[in-house]
Amino acid sequence: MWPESEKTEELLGEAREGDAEAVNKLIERHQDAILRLVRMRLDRRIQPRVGVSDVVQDVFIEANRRLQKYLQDPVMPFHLWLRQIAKDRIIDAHRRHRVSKKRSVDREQPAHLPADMDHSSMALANQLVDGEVTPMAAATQRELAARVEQTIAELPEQDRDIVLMRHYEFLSNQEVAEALGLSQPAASMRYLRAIRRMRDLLLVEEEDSL
Amino acid sequence: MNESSTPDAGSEGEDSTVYDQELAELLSLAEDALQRGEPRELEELCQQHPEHAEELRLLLATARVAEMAGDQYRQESRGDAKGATQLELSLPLYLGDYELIEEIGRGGMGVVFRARQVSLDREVAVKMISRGPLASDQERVRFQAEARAVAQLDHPGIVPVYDVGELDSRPFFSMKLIEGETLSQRISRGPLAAEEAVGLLVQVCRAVDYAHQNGLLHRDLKPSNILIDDSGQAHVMDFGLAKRIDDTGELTRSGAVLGTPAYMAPEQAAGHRGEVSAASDVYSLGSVLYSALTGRPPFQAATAVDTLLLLLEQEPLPPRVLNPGIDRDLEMIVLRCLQKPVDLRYSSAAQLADDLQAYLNDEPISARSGRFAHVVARWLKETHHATVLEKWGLLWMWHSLVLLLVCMLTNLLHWKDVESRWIYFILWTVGLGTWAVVFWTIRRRMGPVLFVERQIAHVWASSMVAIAVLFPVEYLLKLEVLELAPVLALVSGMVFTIKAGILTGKFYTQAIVMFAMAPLMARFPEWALVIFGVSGAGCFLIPGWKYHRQSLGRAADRRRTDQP
Repeated sequence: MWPESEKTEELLGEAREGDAEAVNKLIERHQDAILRLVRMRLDRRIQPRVGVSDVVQDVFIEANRRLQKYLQDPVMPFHLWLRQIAKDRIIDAHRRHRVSKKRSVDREQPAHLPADMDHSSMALANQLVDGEVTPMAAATQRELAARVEQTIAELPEQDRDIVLMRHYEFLSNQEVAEALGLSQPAASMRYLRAIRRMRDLLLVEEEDSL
Repeated sequence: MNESSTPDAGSEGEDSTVYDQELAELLSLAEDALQRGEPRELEELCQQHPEHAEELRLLLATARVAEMAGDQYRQESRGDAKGATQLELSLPLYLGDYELIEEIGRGGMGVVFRARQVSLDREVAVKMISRGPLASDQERVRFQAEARAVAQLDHPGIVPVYDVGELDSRPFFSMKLIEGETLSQRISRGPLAAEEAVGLLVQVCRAVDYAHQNGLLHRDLKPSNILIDDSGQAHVMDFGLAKRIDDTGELTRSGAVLGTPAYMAPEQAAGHRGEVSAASDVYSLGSVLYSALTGRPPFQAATAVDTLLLLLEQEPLPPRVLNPGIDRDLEMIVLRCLQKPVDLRYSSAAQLADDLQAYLNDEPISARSGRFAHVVARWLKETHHATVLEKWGLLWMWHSLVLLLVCMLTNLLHWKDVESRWIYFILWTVGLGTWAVVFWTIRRRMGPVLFVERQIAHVWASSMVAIAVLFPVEYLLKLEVLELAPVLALVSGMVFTIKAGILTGKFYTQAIVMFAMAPLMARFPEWALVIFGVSGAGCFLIPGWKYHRQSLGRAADRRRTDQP
């Protein structure tokens, strides 16, 4: 999800030397990733009032404002720094519009999704995982994705956060640890708990919806 | 049921913490490796840490589900990242002649909108590919095939298609807007009353039969594809995977298993595309009826592989076990649809509809007629398990050779007046046992061992034990060695009877032959082992050869269909 870091480092170097074009490029490179992050995490109920692109714009304005300080003292890799700002902006948007952060993941789902899912998504997923039935119909994949997102939305905040970081932002364990200010073993432990809970939820849903 | 909790959780906090910490590190390592695109590392990690292997696999399966969803999300948002998603934003949206008003459903490969057709001023449903311009060619071809196929159909039980079009290279079609709910929404509120379920299914069967008459298979019948309007009429929709019966086109060449496993016919789930026919839809209709009556599909398991194996190997729970209120006749109808051999099902959706109608009218149903010829035919025919023999064909030919050699050697020793019981005992236990191990090792290398194969292996193993025990029995009864040899034939006869039940009725022949050899062996004790060796070897060689050839033929078929 995040652009590769070598080029980013190069651009950061140029930015440090005052190259405005490099700053623009930096922002451009990370725009998609930030957009996806915001769209995934911004509560859907407030999206009519606060557009995703508004938040994204805020993120880059804020980043621009703090860039010099960051360039002097890069406390963490650039993309982690940027997503930290994005998360702050999202929390801020939620606070302003008084919604709990609880269900920020139900991206594009009708209100009553599970009735229409065919209970087999977990099963299909396993098939995918086993690589036995490789080219799964795109449609089923999409249903599965919706199901997974539903499940992620039901996870406790902390678990949801780490699952999104790992699987929607494709951060490594080390990056997660850095972003959360945890040791690597602690981050991996938190991830373990989240995945366990998620598995339980998926299996329970599988049973409930039948 | 909580498989994912650690084995020792709760017993000793200390240990489970250490255990969890190790597991957590392994999980993160494996996941990092997967992210870098090095899935192989998982195997190594599992080998190095066998105590964690099982849970690690389970957890990683979940992680990969999440990862897949994340990938999907990324792909979907890639093309429209700049302008945000076209399909989510800014409704109402004008699309040629249509004004899209609101999204009313998502599934299959498209998004369905309530829309107004401006020129005719009528409300319609518009279905579009949700991935927009990114839609792969394959997806687009399938979408258009769907639209074309359904547009040919004109039946009250099929949602009619009005118009096919493409806008900004995004294909869409409009269809009649039907107010109501899907059968799966209906089922989620609880099982339906028998009359209600059957009434709906009769309509669905008639509609599907009409499509079959017009050369179209549905291939993905399931409760969420059946709309019930406010007057109770059922409408079949989403012929998304429909394909002309006579079409051998490119669409599903890739071998993708299309459809929803929970409602799929076994031949469809097994990916035997050539065998998918109207009877596969009949099977799915039976699954739909099953789940309408019981509230759950015929097969369900925690993982797909398990579901698939259940679907391929096991009989479904009889509906009356889940809902005792179901009538016996109705259960017969459902189970007849769910027969694994295609020819034991109703031969058409119309026949199924007739039988359901007969049930509604309290008339005798055809599923009940256990005609004698039917019963005999069923006894003699191959079961759906018989295909496992294709893997065993070559091995059985070797087995017949080994058996023949052991028998001949035994008889030779006997002629040479070798009296030592030990020699015979070792030959029949260690000798044949070694072969059994070799056999099983080779079989395991050929792929996962099915449940039914384990059953047969058990029968085989028990027969070997029985034979080994004959030696001490002979000794204790103060009989000459090999005096009980005719029992070998009896044991083999029993083994073949069991195989006949599990695999194919043809093995009754082998069973009869073996049983008949026992008195013959008793009559000519000097030749007993030769008689047994030759007849036994023949009993394995003939089916072994047949199934080996069958498996070669299938491999050739597969190669042919895989050619681009």
